[in-house]
Amino acid sequence: MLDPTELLRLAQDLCLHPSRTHRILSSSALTEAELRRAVSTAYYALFHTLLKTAADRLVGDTQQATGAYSLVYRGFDHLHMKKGCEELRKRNLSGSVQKALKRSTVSSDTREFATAFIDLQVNRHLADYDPTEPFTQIDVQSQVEAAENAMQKFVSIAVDEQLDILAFLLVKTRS
Amino acid sequence: MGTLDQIEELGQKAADAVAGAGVFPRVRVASDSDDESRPVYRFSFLIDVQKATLEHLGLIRIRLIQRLYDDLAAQNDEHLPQIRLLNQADWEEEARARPH
Repeated sequence: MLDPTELLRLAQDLCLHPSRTHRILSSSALTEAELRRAVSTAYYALFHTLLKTAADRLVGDTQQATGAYSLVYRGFDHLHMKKGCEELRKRNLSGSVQKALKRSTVSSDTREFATAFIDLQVNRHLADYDPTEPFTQIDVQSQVEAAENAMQKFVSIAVDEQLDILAFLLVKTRS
Repeated sequence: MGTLDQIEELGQKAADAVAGAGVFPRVRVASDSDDESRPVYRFSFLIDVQKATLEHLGLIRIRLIQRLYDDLAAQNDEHLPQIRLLNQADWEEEARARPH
């Protein structure tokens, strides 16, 4: 079973390893490949944190061998999640989102998680698909640390709110 | 929607509020669109690595984006904020590559 924290550690090793951090004061000393893999891997660490939490909470962490667990885990869609996070980061949730979630607001931790998810996904696309986009070590370092922070925030969100968010990001509701 | 100078000022105020004065001594902004053709502001922030707490860069990054998003929304500016944090060498390299 994939442990999302292993992905985070890999991203950190790519750009934060002690043998490399001394170079942060200079211009990018890491290779483009190292920087881009760190960005992409940091996003996937956060992405899989959400998927694993969803499957654990909605199906059960002792049910990993079941079809239900796999279906929930693999039921998430990157674009739908991004669109959902764009709603969750708003200071005032839209009426349709309030109706769907049956809550008028979300916590600051949820807003920061949503902001991080969007930022990391945008940069993951650039890292993986735009060879002309420049990446710098200090910016990539901040992205990897943002992923770690967002992972910590997400798992600390109150369970009832976390469940609402997971369902919101998983299910495509009729408008 | 303000002028780019006004958006730069908004970016500087957000940076000072989130990270403390002097951590990001300079900001530049470019107007662009994202891969869904939505308007975006690409903010570049020069980071003073002597003043910044590098261990907290991730949290600063997210809170800065959130602050920019809220401030732009408060002005009914539909641009979405995207940011880059740059050291002095990267800042100068970006200026050469993307003259404003």
